[in-house]
Amino acid sequence: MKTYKYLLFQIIFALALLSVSCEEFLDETPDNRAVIDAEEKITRLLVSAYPETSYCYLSELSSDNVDDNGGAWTAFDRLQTQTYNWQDVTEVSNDSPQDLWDACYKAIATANQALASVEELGLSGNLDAQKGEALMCRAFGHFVLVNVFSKAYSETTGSSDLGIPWIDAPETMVSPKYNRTTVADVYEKINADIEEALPLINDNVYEVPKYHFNKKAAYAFAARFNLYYRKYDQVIEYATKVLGANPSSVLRDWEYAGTLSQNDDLRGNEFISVNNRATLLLTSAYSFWGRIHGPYSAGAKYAHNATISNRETTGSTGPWGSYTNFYYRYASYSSLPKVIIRKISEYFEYTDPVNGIGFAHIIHPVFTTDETLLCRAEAYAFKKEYDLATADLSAFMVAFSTSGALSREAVNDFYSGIAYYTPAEPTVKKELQPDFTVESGEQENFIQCILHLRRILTVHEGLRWFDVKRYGIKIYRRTVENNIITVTDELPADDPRRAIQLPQDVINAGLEANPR
Amino acid sequence: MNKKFMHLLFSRSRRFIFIMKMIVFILLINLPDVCASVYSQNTRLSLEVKDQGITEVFAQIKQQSEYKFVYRSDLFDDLQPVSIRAENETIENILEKVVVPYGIHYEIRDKVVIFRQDIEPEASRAEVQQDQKTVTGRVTDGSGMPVPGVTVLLRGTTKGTVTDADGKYTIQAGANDRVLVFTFVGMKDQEVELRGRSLVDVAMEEEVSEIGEVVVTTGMTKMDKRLFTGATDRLNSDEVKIDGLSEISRALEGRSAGVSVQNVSGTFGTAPKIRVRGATSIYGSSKPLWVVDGIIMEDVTEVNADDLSSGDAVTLISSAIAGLNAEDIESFQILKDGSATSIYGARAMPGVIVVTTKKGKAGETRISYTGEYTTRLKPNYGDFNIMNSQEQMGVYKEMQEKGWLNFADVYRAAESGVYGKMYQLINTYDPVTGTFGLINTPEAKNQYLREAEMRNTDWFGRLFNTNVMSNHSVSISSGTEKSSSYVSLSVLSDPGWSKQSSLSRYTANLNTTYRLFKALSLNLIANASYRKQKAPGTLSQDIDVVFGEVKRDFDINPYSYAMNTSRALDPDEFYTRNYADFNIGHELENNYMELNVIDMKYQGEMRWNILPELEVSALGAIKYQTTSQEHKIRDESNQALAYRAMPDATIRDKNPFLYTNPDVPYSLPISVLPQGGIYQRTDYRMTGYDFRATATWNRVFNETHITNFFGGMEVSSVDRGKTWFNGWGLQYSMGEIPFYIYEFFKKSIEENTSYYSISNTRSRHVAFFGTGTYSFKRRYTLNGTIRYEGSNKLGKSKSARWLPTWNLAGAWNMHEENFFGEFDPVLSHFTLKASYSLTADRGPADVTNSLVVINSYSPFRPFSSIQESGLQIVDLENSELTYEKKHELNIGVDMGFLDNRINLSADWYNRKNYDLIGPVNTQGVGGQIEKLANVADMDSHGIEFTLSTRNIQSKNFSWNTDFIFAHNKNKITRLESNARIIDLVTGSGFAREGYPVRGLFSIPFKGLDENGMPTFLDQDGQVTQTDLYFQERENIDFLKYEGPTDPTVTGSLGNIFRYRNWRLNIFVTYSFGNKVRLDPIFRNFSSDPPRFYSDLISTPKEFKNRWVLPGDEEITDMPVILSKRQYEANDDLRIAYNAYNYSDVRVADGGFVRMKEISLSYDFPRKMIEKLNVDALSLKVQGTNLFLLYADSKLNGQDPEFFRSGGVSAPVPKQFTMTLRLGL
Repeated sequence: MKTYKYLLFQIIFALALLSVSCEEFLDETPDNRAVIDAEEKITRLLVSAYPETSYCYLSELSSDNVDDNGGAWTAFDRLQTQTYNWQDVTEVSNDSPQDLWDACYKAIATANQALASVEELGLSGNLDAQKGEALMCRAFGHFVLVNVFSKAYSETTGSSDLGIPWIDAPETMVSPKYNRTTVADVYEKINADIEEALPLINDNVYEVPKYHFNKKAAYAFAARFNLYYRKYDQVIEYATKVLGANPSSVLRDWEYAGTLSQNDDLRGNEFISVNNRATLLLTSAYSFWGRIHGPYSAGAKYAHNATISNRETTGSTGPWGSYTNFYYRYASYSSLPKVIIRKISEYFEYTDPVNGIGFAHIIHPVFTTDETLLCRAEAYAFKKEYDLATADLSAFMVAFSTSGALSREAVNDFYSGIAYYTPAEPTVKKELQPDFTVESGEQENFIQCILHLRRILTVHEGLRWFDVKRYGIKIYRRTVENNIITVTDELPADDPRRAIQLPQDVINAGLEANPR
Repeated sequence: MNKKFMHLLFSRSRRFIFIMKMIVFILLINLPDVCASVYSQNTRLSLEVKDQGITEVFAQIKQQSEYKFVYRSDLFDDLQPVSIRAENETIENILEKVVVPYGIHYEIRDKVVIFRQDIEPEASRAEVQQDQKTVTGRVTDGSGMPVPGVTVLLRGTTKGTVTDADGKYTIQAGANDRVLVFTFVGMKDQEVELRGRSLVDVAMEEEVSEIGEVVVTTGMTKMDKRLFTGATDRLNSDEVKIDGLSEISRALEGRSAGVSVQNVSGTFGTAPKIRVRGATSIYGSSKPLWVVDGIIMEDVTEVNADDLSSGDAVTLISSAIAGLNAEDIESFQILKDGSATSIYGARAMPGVIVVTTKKGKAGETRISYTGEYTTRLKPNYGDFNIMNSQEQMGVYKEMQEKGWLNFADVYRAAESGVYGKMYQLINTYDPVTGTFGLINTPEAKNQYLREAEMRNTDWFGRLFNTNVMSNHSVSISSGTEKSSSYVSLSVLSDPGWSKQSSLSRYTANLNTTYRLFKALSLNLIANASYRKQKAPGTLSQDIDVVFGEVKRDFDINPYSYAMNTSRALDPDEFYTRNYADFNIGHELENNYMELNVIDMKYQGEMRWNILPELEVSALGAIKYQTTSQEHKIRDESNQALAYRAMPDATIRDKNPFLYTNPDVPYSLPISVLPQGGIYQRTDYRMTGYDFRATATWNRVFNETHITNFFGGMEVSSVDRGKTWFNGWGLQYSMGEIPFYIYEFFKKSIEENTSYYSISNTRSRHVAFFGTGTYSFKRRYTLNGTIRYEGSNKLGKSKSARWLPTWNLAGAWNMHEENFFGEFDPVLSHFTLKASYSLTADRGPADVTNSLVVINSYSPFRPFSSIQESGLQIVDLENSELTYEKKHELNIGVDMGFLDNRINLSADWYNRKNYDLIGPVNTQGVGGQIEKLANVADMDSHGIEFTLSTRNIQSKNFSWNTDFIFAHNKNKITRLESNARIIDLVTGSGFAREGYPVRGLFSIPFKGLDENGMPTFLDQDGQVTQTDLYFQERENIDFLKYEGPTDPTVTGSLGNIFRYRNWRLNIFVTYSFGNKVRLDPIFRNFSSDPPRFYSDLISTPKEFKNRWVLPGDEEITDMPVILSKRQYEANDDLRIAYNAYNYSDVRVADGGFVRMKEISLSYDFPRKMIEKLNVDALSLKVQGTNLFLLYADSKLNGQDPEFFRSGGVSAPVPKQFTMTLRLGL
């Protein structure tokens, strides 16, 4: 009996040893994948915490910066037609809602993975920079998603408007089900991430700072976020950290940029150069947008055309006088119905040069000092500090055009002097129907001016759509053929289509769709 | 390890010994025959013997039939001479008359007659024996040859002796010595009771493992077939081997019911697409597991089923057994159902093919030589419907009239042929002679074009050879008491069917068994092979997702070239490709790949019989394979020249291979390869270790309860490495010194490409397994297996890595029942088997995310100064990841009729594959909308049978037929998929719920319109030309379902005729039930403008019936040649013409009946060759793959099995082989 017990013990011991060594043997990684076990690796991981799809295409085509140029032109693809017509997109390709959804949540997943690794590797202080960047990236991913797929943030309806799922831990199941929280909830969480992250950001950990949330980029994001969140004190505080005491010294050198040739990609390359003082955050995205809005016939059916340009945007007149005062003017192509500001070029990554197969990319200047300056001006306008707002607008105009500083009177005179826009008689002044108050008179004039400038500054970049949403601006779908304008559809302030429909596959997987 | 089992099983009683011997004899004698298990006892014989020894009767019977006689040599010594006259009598009748009267009984099993004497009660006699007596005797092998060196021992003592050169021995036995033990390596131990005899002759039996059908080997165990409950086929290499096919896996085509072999490419080293009972996975490879001498063969690199037909260079190393010489293979055992494969559990889902190589045999040393000499026919334009040059020029003329092929477009085109050359000649001025290459007059031009019209270049003749491929194998087999060995060497030398496809392969094989002690033996095996192969230079293919066109840059595959290139081109002239000079012959000489493959396997196994019932064994093996694949793109090759082609500013700006520096405004394109060529090298390396320890326990209780248990554990590890290197600017013709400029690296950085790469993978397995069999008198057998397997494949998660698999099976041998005699001999054999099992596999190689998968990458940044290396999540964690699994119910029956003259073996099975890896659309919040996970299910079922009949059996003539049939159907029952139209309509088909694993769909063609342009049904149900949207995913129900791309019916019909020493084999394979997408008729239509409208293409003859005039749409489906104006007005017409390639008019039935082999062999009679000191000599002439007896006429010469994908792919040629076999 005793020997049996001894034998049994021996067998159990041997089996235990065997199973331990088996597990060890099987722990070998099957391929050359990376294991996040060092600070350096978290830093590297965060290189991919930025969405590789941009919203430029989706939001620009949804906005009033494009018209239908009629039957002589063809759409680039179905995605373009569906997006332009505010339809539910069924396509999956570069720039599609599905790609944007995937890219933003992938960036968020990466950030969450990095945060998990930060936790795992201990709370030692030297991971603060990584933690800061990860939080910033997570906030940014959600920020893009909530602005594209939900209604604009609203103090009154935000706590009931459908938001997007907030995720703050790596996903481990095949197909877990999520709930869409509210827009207000998402904004609150973004705010928390940003506030936590801002003090942690450290530019020293970045190899190429402008492709990461460097300190200035982080504050620029915080400024824009708070502008949409309508926390104007924060906008001013954070924008000031970006702009410093003398904004002029950090704005883009438009005068120099304007001397570059319109041909090839010279302007585009300069526009997104890391050496340019105006660029704060650049992201690389898979996109056909460079081709579709650029000087090619591709997608010319739905484009920023001369009608829009001359009456509302890059060719319009403002308190600064004629657009010819601008240093950086549009390029016109007689054979195309497009009016193009050369700033976003296509960069093609060839996998097969013979057949021209590869990946199309753009570099998206997500935050620039110029745009941050206009954010601050808008905040000042809401705080009715019109002199400060005027100072910011003047700084911008000095950099942007030969017309020099603006005055309060010029702004008031110009915008109170023109009629509101109608589709047939377009002006630069569109009726604002936000669910907050914009006092008519000086406040509205300043807002109109800022929106006008934002539209000119950020044309092709997609920000106009968010302004349209924020201010409840009613926009139209117009066909412009032989200078005849036909309205085909309109998007009033309360139209549910302002929240772009979720990707078809995501809805099929059980996530609540946007109402239609 | 089950050898021992066999031995013990039958040593319990004399009767068992007897049966065992008999079986062994049957097998030994039958070895050279095809499935020689049935022989009619109804053969009628006529003979006359007067007053002669009985052996004369036997001799006469032997002459007239294939009967063999087995008896103790002294059995008939005391018999009187006999006289008998028989006419047309059965053998039973004859034997009844001559032997039974003398108290001798006989039994006939198949072709063997075994005699035994009625046993007298010898034991009583033994008691009166003296103390010491001399026992003598002779030891022979199965064929009656003496075996020297056999150890003869008195059981329980150390007294013993060995046999002399004549196999004779003498030993002194005491009164208590009752049993003699005879042992010899490679043969079964014999224990013979003395029973007082002084003469004990023993016929040794070769070890069971050596022997044919009775034993089933799973690679790990060996099992009496009557106790085996699974579905399996054993194929002897001699019988299935097709001479001249150096890749032996191709020979399995049609040999085993349910095993389909599709020769998607015939190039050496390329594995055929083998399926055992059809696909078992949707995205996984479904490739059966190859086990050679008990060791699982691992591929050096994972090549899945679709890649096999890709023509990419990697396919050249896709065959796991390309390093094995076919002559060294003894047999294949194909394990089909879950019961047969269950011992491999979690790797066994797609079936298992067990290869056993030859071992040394005891006795005489045998040296054999086999030489195969093969010549292959060149493909012939007569077999294909390709236009001749006159017809082709007519097409070009129409193109020219329609605005294509004009000077402005063609002169500077990237690719051009006859017209481009003409324009270039017109523009070439020779200042010395003061003349132009061609005078620009209509007469001169017409003269030039007329020459082209008459050219009729035979590209096949230019690019293919009929030279002789030869394979020489020499082997030596020898054995003594202590050891036996088999050693072989072979040389395969192939000058190449097409240009730049030469091959030489050398193999060595050593297999030796050494018996250290009686209970301890050691088996050592070493295989090594070296292969050197050339192939045309090729890059990997790309798929243009917009149009679904499969493309390969710089393709110079000779077969594709001959099929695709206009016959109006002058084969000695340089035309233009990629803006540079191009001539196929010149290019093949300057752009090629060289492969060097070294393949080695060393293994050792020790077996130790601890107890008579218990054997333990330990097996270890090391595998090593290294492949270097050098792609040499020499200085003068078109591929190198393309990188520096800029004869003028226009071409300089158009040539996509030139580089423009983005950092310097206004810079001009430059060449990044100003000198030299390119040297690309890919190395694959694999090192594998295997270790296995097992124990086998066998015992038979009371001759009734047969038990067998087998258990063990195995550990294996495989490390694979791949390195790729792009040697830029190697100056081949300047002393092989590299010359490169920094802009090359700058360009690479900006384009995010690397100039070298490394990837390493590691796989680790641990498995514990056990199997038990119980049989009641071999009538009722019950078998169960369990395996618990762990793998690192799914990632470093402890929850996902382990999987238990199991099997439960039973068999009923009705012929062992007492009542069975009633049916005999009409029904002579009946076995019913059933099994239910769970087996598994690990899914596609790239699904390994049981934990999050993070890899390094370089994000795309357009300038070299802002690059940064990062890490990215490739796959999110899937904590639910598990193996792909399969439940299988198999019911099989083996029946023999008319005394086994007709044998039928049939199986029915039903499979439920579940937890298959498939795409799943998630909400994407985790960062991935589409994931791969265990979400798909599939059902399949099938029947298969083998019918073997001996139609005619006479003295000089026999005719045997084997008919093999298998039907397999599968259907995906659960799959979320986002298949786009383009995925569903391309040739390889696509997975879709409710359809087979690879279903082919078509765009419904709706006729030509009044302009001769094709119209189709589109996704909105409208008839359209250009609104068809290839990337549509939602509305795909308008597509016409054509059928599966994998055949549902496969099989063969084999007939073997034997007349004296002549043997004629006619082997036909067939395959039905699948659809084939015809080769695209409008090639290169997706480029803008379509490259189809060039002066290089060759068009099929159907093109003659193209739409020319309004009204033609009533009588033809072949669209018009577009005019340039039509095209420019609507370049979306490209969609229509591409859609035509994928329409229902471009589908053919994939069924075929192939004359796979006709061979005639002659064995020289012994008498004739004895003088030459030659043991055996045979000569065989064989035609392989000669023609198709049936194929859809729409195929027009296109081989339904072959996937024409360019690169290194080639069809299986029609060939003739002469084989010489010589035994010394």
